[in-house]
Amino acid sequence: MPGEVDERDDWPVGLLFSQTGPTAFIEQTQLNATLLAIEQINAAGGVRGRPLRPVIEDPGGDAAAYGVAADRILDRYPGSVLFGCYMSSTRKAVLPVVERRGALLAYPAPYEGFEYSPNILYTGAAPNQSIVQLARYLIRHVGRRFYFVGTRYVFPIEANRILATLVAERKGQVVAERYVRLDSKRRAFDDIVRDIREKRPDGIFSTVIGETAVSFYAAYREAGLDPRDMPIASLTTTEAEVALMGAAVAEGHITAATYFQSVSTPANTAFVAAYKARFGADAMTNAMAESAYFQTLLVAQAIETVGSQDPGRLRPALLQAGIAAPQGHVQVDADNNHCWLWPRIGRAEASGEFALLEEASVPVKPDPYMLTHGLDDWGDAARGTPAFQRV
Amino acid sequence: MAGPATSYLRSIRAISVLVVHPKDRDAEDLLAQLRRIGCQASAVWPIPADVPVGVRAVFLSIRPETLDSPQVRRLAQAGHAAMIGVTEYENPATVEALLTVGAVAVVPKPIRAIGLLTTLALALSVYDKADASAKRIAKLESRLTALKEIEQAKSILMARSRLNEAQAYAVLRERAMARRVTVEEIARAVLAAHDILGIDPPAGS
Repeated sequence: MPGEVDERDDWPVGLLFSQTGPTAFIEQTQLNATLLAIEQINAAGGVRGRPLRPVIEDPGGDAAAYGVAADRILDRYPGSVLFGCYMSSTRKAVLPVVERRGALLAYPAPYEGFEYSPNILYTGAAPNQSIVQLARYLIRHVGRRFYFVGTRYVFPIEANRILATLVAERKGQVVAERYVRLDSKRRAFDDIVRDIREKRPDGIFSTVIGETAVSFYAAYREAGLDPRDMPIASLTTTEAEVALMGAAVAEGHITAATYFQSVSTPANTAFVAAYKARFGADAMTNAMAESAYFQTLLVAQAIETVGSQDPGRLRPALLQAGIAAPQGHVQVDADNNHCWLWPRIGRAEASGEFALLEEASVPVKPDPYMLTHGLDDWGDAARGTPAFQRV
Repeated sequence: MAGPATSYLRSIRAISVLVVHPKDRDAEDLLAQLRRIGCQASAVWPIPADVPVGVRAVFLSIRPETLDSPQVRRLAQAGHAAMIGVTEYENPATVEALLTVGAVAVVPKPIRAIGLLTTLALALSVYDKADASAKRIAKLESRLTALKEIEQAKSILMARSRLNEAQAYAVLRERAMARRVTVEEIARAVLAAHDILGIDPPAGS
């Protein structure tokens, strides 16, 4: 029904971020950033004169609960856009719900790729926008022997597979691959840290997420290991994890992400200022929060264009959407619903922020099914993935 | 860790895939996802006379009106690509059609992006294994025939020249080496000569 416009007096949107459980500290920042974007949109007059109304659920970090919560929101507000999820396991739980109901989920986190759903907008990094850059950095600056530690679920397992392939291509070696549970306690790392001391890798690739990441970095530091000799490299240790573990524990370790609070763009200056004004001077932004923020603006912009939340009508507008995000100008890729993003490498500093070591000079096209993860082919101009530059 | 799956999946990205399907939303969804995966995908309809050289997998629309067509049979017999059926519904006729065209996998409509990579990977794996088995069997069959011919040639030499088995084989081998051909070929020449000269094979051979 082209041209038909929704007649409600507001736009209910569903927010699926855990405020309890082992990933609450990071998902809370995603929720904050989403709410900040909604408040800014509403303060500026809303979408077509109507405010966005957040409908908040707390799935408590439990994957199945995300699916249930998604259904509950869509039962109450059929056709409302959903924003949320952090762990891939939670997105995988919501995916069948949005496909079955013809709904739309905007997902603000880096993930392991190999997924495309017409019902999901992916605003975090695909592997070709994160792992490939990290692998290059590690091989150039850290060494050839790596120790993998991760939380046992879909993202770490697949990320490890991709990085192991990249490392092997450069004649590197994975000396061990260890997994812990999401609810593992501190002592779970005693044995792993002992093993790391013994095997003496050049670097560690950590896909340990949530509060467990704090335990791992702390156990590393307590064992007297030094990031200058043997850094931990991660895709998910952001400013939020650093704040939780304490900057002294994180200092010197490496993270690959499309955003750090230290990024200098006009949009980021405004974003950081607004975030601190709203959530406190000590509050820090991070890559997950930044994705949550700009995806809300992107979706609102598309609703404004078509005058409807109906995914069938929203999709064509979303696929052409772009915005000056804090990380730089981002653009939805019409072929795969992922975004053109700005890969960066950062090193945690004593201040709790990251120093930028490398950053892309132009946005990198998302390639979620990138199976040939050659370290060289990501600079292939024909595929629209320009070369990485040192800052 | 990088296992066999990684290298197998990597090879998929480079392959050429043909979608034989009427131009509609399903064909578009199928093509779009194959291209997202990274395959060289193209579509054709009506059913072509042949599968282009280099095509490793064919997604073939299984429709009631085309099931009996000679083109479908010819495609199935060509058999140099993994055949994946694209079906609208399931019933005995559809199952029979899939078996007839030698499908190694099936994709039901409406097309869902998630699952296609897996289907394609499994179909190629099944096809490659079946293809390797068929080639191996053909090779073994020809080897078996050759061995039989060598046995017969040995028997003829043993009967005509009063040689024992080892000596008869040595004669065949020497001739083969002198003429730079295989023992099988010499054995075949002996059998042909024997046939022309009209000498009966020795009893028991």
